[in-house]
Amino acid sequence: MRREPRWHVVTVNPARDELTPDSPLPEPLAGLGDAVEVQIRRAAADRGIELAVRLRDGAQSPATAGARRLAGRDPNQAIRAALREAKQLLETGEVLHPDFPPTTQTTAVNKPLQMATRQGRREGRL
Amino acid sequence: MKALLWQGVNELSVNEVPDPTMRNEQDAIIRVRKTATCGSDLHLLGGYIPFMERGDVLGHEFLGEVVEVGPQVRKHKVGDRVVVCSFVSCGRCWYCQQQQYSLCDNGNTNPAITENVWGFAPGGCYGYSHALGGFAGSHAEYIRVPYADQGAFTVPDGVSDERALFASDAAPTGWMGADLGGVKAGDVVAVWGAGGVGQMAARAAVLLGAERVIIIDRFANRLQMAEKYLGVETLNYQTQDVGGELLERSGGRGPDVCIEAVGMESHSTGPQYLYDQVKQQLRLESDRPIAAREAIYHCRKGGSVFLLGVYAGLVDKFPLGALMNKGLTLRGAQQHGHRYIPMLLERMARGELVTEHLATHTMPLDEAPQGYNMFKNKLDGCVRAVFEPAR
Repeated sequence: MRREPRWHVVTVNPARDELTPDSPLPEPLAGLGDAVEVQIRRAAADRGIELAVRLRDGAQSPATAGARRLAGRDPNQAIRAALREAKQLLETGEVLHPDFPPTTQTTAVNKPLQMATRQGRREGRL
Repeated sequence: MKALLWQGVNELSVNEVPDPTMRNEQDAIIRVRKTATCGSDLHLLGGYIPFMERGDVLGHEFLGEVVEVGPQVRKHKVGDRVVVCSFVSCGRCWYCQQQQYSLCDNGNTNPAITENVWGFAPGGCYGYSHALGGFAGSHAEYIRVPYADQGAFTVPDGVSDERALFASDAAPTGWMGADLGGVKAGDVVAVWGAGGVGQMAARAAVLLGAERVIIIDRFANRLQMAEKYLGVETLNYQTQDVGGELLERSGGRGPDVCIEAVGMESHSTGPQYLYDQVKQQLRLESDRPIAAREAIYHCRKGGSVFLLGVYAGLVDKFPLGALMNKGLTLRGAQQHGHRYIPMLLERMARGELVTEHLATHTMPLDEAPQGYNMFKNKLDGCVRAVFEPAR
């Protein structure tokens, strides 16, 4: 059974009231272009602003979605990363980068973990 | 630079690695002066938290000197002596603004793992696996500190390195257990575990006004240390009846607040230790929750249990019946250190909170593998091994 795209949502706690439903989208989300729908709404209980994004089209079967996800070609991965980065920019002014250069070595045992961490902001439950 | 690296399960080495670099405008680079072992490192060392890579730098409790700051760092300058909270927190998301800093939305560069394992991702932590951001740890000559204005705290002139070091983790973690466990004047408080965090939790309970504080462990040297430096009562679970003693010392009510500062590799004298060891080694449970079970069992009706010990995953035989029918409040957290560290440094300056006795063994970073061996196996009365990279 094919599933319709779902909304991915983060709540942003902006330092200033710089995000309203009429605001231009923050850069990471603007980069997604017309492929997505975006909603901006005030969160309940003064918790900030909710940013919601979903694909305009693209219903797909769970098997197809899983395969695309594993291959890193699922557009929902780009949505998750863009949402997380937009939230960080609005809250802290920059996107936190991991340490570089790394101190680790690739081994047969840690290869799956390294693959997972490369998708760190593109995956998860968001 | 030199750093202590995780090379595999129970395998450590000191090697040369690249120096850390500034990655964000709010970063600072710190030259590490002192960096402490922590009981929670042993879970990484033993492979119980399976998100380590060969070459990861361990260590998350440290103090040092600022050697470089990014253009957006306002509170610190080169040369400042700072103690750094072990958690990486932005200070501006909703959780940070609620002072729940270890739940920061932005401090973990790799939230996918913990979102899938735990439902949501906490903040990042230095030297604590790729599940918590993969940040290099402090057992090194230098370390990168993101969000430096939030996580680094200038040490007052009157506080020694030896004392301030534990304002990074053990002291705020312990204080949080007593504070969020709800300790108030007149309470009877029991603390499971007389390591660094347990001792700090016990001292916090005293300072928050508890009438009696009882710390429980099996190592006589740790219990003697607690009596001498913290002014608390002790129980040795290998030679005394913990349940009977707690009843006797609380007028038959049981402790009002029970703080568990042991974590996922706890021990006991009874058959449940064998049971949990077998299940953990067979990966049928990830954590041994013996001290947590005891805390729940012995806590008074309507009391409060706070879990400070680190747990990673799933446990067996968890006493939900006792929890529910006694009307207990159960809480836990990684440390919200940013909330407590300035206050703790002031208390350290006034002499109310002493910590330097925890550093039973201080040595150069080159000897860190031996230091961890002593710490893990409690050799020579080791409570905490502390490394000095510049030595």
